[in-house]
Amino acid sequence: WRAPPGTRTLTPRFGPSKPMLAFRFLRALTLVHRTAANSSNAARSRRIQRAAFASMAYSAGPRRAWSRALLCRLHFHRARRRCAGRRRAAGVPRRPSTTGSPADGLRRLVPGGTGMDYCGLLEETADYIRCLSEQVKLMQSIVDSVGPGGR
Amino acid sequence: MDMNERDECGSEKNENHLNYGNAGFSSGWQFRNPSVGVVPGDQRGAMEDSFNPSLWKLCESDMPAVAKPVPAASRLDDGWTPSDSSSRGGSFLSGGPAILTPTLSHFPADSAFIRRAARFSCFNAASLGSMATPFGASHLAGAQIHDIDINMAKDASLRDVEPGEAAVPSGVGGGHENADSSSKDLAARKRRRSTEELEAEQGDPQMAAEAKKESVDTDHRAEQSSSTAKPNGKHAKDASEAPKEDYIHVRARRGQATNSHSLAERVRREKISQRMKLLQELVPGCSKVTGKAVMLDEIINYVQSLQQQVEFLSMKLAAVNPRLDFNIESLLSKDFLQSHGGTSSAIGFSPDAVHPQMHLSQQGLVQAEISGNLNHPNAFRRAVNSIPNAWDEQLQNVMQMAAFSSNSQQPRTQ
Repeated sequence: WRAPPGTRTLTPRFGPSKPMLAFRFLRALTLVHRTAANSSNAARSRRIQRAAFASMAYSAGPRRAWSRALLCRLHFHRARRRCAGRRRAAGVPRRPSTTGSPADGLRRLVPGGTGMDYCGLLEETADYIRCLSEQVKLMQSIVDSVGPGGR
Repeated sequence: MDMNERDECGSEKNENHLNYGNAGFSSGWQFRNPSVGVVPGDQRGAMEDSFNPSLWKLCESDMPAVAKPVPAASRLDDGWTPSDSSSRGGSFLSGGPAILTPTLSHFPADSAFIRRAARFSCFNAASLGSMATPFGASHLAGAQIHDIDINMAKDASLRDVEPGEAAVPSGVGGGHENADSSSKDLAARKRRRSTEELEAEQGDPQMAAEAKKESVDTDHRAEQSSSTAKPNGKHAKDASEAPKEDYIHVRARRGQATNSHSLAERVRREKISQRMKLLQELVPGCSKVTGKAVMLDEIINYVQSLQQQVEFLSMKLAAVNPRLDFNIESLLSKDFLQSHGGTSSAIGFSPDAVHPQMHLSQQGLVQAEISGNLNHPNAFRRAVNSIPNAWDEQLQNVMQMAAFSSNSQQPRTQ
């Protein structure tokens, strides 16, 4: 798993590499549609969401703490799903940010944020936001390209 | 570390004698101990004694004959192969016995020797800290100061261990004061260095090891930007310093505490504010918001909204089963067009080199699309080959992979 050649020189500040992101996600998407065409929409959407995060993390590269943490989480959840059956993770109750440091909410949101100092957290957040927005744009463009016809 | 620096000086001066020059140096060092005593507190005379023969040895291959006549110095010969002495060796020989006595108070007036002594003094000032103070102060006598300083500057520039270090604060500054203050300064920095944690932010362990904090230089280092100490890697670059790629300078501002902790705090705050500015640019609609807490809330909201969008879009994608086999290519091109248009307006590329390349790729892809046969792998290759930028291989790989996968999917998705 290496960053695609030319990514570094090309996008020093810009985290994700768009073509790789697009390619990975599209491949995963087609895979999901092919293999799980008979399962429910909700299950597929979960898979697609995981695929989105996975492709995001892969295209960001191992240099980023959040991508590593995200992939760890994905693999861990996947292993747990396979072994322990289906179990929805309960939503974490959000505490108000007045208790504790103000960065706690951000730490919960950004993968891998709990183990970072404030400065690193901010940098990871910036990269995470960039990658997330790229992913959202990509998915939106896919949905748009399908057109209003849908299936 | 001392040996390393002597290594360097040896390698600069005389490649052949690097190894055994060091051996000779160390042996000479040890042998001289009984007369030298504790090095840091020693007299300058003894300092000269211990340094001089080794100086000669490291620099000249024809020196060692000097050491022979004096019985104390004869022990130095163990590591030194005798070789014939040149005329300079002869002159040294005349001065040798006088030098090697512990009570020597003057040098032979040999410019070459003094130059070498100066070089070594600057090396040793860097490495031995306060120990070099008497050495540096005593040996740079009158007429050769300019010569020495120039040589110091030249030789210090050869050393890449600490470029711009105050060992050569300025080539033509006052010799004594510079040597003194530089050595003191370096001693102070050395002490401070040992008390600080070293983060190799730049990933260069040597640079991190050399990085130091500055505290007290602000008054008598006004003339040189390079003389400010190098803090460790976690400190941000101060705008007033000449930025070097490897390490970061921090200068204490006027009227501010020069405590190392407060400096570190200040640098950390600057870093955090820098990152917050970045985030402000990323998050739309945050430019007018001020204050850290509000900014944090905005950022949290934005990240949450993005994640919700991903979930929503994935639901949509699950419901919709697009005919992806022929959609991929057009999607990719459209995605490029959209994203480039979007990003160029909203985010604003910091690497300007990216922008023209993406435009070129856009044009290439648009041409390919307009030509119509995007499904065809040949058209793909043509489009790919027409993109004449450094992005080529990555893009080509992606396109080829997409074409290949789409083509391979066609028979299967029937």
